[in-house]
Amino acid sequence: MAKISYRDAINQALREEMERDDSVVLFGEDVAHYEGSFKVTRGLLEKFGERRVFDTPISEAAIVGMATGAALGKLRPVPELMTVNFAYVAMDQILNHLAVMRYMFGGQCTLPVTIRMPGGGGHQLGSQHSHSAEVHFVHTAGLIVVYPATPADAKALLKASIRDDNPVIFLEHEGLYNFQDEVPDGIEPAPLGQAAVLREGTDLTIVAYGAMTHVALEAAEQLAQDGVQAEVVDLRTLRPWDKETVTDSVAKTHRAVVVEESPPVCGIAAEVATNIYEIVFDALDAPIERVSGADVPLPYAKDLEQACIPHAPDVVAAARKVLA
Amino acid sequence: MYEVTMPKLSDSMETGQIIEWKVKEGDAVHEGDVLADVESDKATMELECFADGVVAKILHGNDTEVAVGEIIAYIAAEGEGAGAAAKPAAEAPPAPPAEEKPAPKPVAKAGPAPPPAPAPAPSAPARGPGLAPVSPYARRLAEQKGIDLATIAGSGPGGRIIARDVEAAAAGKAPAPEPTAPPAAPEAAEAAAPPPAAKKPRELRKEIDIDPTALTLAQKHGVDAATLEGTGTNGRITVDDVLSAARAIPAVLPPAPDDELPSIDFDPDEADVADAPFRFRTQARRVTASKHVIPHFYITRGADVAKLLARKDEVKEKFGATVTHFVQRACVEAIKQHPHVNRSYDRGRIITWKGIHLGIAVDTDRGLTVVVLRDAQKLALEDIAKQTMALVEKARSGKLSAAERSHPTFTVTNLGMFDVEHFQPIINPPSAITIGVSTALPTPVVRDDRICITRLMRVTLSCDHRIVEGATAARFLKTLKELLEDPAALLGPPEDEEQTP
Repeated sequence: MAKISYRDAINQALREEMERDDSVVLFGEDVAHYEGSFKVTRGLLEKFGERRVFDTPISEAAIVGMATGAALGKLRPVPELMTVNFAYVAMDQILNHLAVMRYMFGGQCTLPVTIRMPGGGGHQLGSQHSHSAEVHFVHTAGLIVVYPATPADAKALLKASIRDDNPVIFLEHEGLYNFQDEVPDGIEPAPLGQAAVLREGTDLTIVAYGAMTHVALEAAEQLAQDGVQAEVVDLRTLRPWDKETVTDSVAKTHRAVVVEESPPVCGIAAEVATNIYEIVFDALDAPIERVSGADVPLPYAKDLEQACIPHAPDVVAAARKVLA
Repeated sequence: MYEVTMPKLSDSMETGQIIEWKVKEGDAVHEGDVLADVESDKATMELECFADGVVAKILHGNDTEVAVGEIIAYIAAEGEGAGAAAKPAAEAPPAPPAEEKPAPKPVAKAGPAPPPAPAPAPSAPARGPGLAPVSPYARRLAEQKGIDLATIAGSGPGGRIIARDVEAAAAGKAPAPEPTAPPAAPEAAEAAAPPPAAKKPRELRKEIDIDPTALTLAQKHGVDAATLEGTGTNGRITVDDVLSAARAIPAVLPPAPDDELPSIDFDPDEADVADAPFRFRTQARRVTASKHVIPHFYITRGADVAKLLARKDEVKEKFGATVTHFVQRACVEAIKQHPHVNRSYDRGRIITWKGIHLGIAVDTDRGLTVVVLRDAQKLALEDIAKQTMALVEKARSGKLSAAERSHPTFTVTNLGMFDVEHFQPIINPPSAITIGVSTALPTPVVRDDRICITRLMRVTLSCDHRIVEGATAARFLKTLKELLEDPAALLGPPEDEEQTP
């Protein structure tokens, strides 16, 4: 067991999967010689050479299109898009080709593509560079969407994503790259579609993912000081998401708060809350509270930007509301 | 805090109707004020106030029906804020008589004079139960614990009733030093079903994956919801699922109380419903009791009534006699030869009747009536016919005397005129035997190794096995059949004890 950063956990996963399987290839903008704009792909060109790790032109559509073609050609590509914001340029390739091709061809092909993209705001990059765009992918049938919150999950879930024969959108949070935590040696791929209960409790359930998982855990600590025991469920996979773990938890605690960084309209929290209402309605002792990012383009000004992103006090306030 | 409850205005009263409140929430009231007009099954009376204070909360509005003993309003004592969120724990009531809600005096006093155990003060004003929201979980808890939500004040946002309110009510509002104080929520104390042990979420989800209305119905109909396959969204158990299961339960008739039968639920556009008249209900009760309590057995024989029918035509000139009259006469003769069938069994006693009182089932506009021909052993066929016809006339015009309706020691019912070929009547107590006479059908039978056509009339004896045994009934029936087939003996004068043989 060693304490490594989220960034290095991803690096290790890429390294180990490329060692294990020759057909795994990496490409993207500045991933090879520059070692990645967030340094995630450090050392991989050196180890595996230009045939397996290479830079692309600045064209996300080309990157994804090439990955699709490579996958049809029996490679296992792991392209990187510099941030999720740039995925918008490649949306046709992702939603209209990668997501639907296997279905349209009646299963005659597999598309083992894993697109890695960091996302999220809070670094004053302006609204065009601060999207939490997971909603668009989660809404689309044919995609798997993964969003780890911890280094251990990042490593285990990336390994699983690469090995999966379906297109996976692997989202990372820019703010978590330096976050360090224990990662077991030789960690196995984690099952996709399974949530994790990171903290057990009996008074309410807080559902979160990505960076918001840490916000939720912080809020749970604060609540514990007042004798409120919150159960924190980290979704880990957003599509398909683990309804059973979430609803089992709410069946136990009778109250739920769902946290997301992205704005609330038709968001992940809306999806989770609706399913809780549908599946365990009779267990609820209060309406479900959503804590979401503000429904605005994310501002550039530091104070304004922070005001638009959920923090622990927001989650605590929501918790108190459901406990009222 | 003083509870105003629906008073018991008469012995038979089970529910009362609040006609109209004379006060509203927030009004100051004094002892002796009239709070509301309340109606029982017999009369309308004024509901008197017993305490000085302020009307804190009215739980049931005008024109609502409320069970006797149920709380319909709270009155806050002066000094007690109506909106104060007092905790349910609280004060000992001043020297309460520690009795159950007392039987009423006819002057419609509302409940015991000193206030009983305090109820939780409502934290939000002016929300009747029709408006007070209840969280789904609280509703489920209330059902499990048998608590009436109308008796709970909600402490959640906006006056919502939430789980902790239900749990507080279930834990009982009586303060610790008064162990015999009347429970504020009598339904909780009487709830027979113990709350289920804490379940794992997966088991719990099985239990909760059910529409709340369906859960209530399941409990009412004795359906185990955990065994049902839900056909609703995500496998949720719906009202339809429960009702289907309830209907599938074999309809074994329960002993007399018919509220053991599943009640019939329907939408207003599916059926009209009206209260059954008294005699209808009485008959329903009696017939149910007879069928369920008396161990029936049935034996059937066919009799060749060709000769009987010929005789019937012969006597037509002198007096009209129906087949039923002949059967009655035959039964009387057969009973004389088998007197043990003219007895009744009642709660460990054997009643041996001194006369043969024949009950005859008559179909009238008002429904089924059994007229009773007393001392039929003294009557010749002609008298039987004439007196029976007179009784039928009285039955049809509703003029039967009590004696003409009671204590049939043997009952005859005939559906032959409707071409019924066989039926097994329900015994009409106190008769030990009720005979069902069917139509006489031309029927081929074998006689002396030859086929001939007879007019075969089947009769079925429904017998009370507590007092009549199979062999007895069979012997009786053999005699009866012989009399029916050779009715010469029926036409003579009746033989009775006075006659010298």
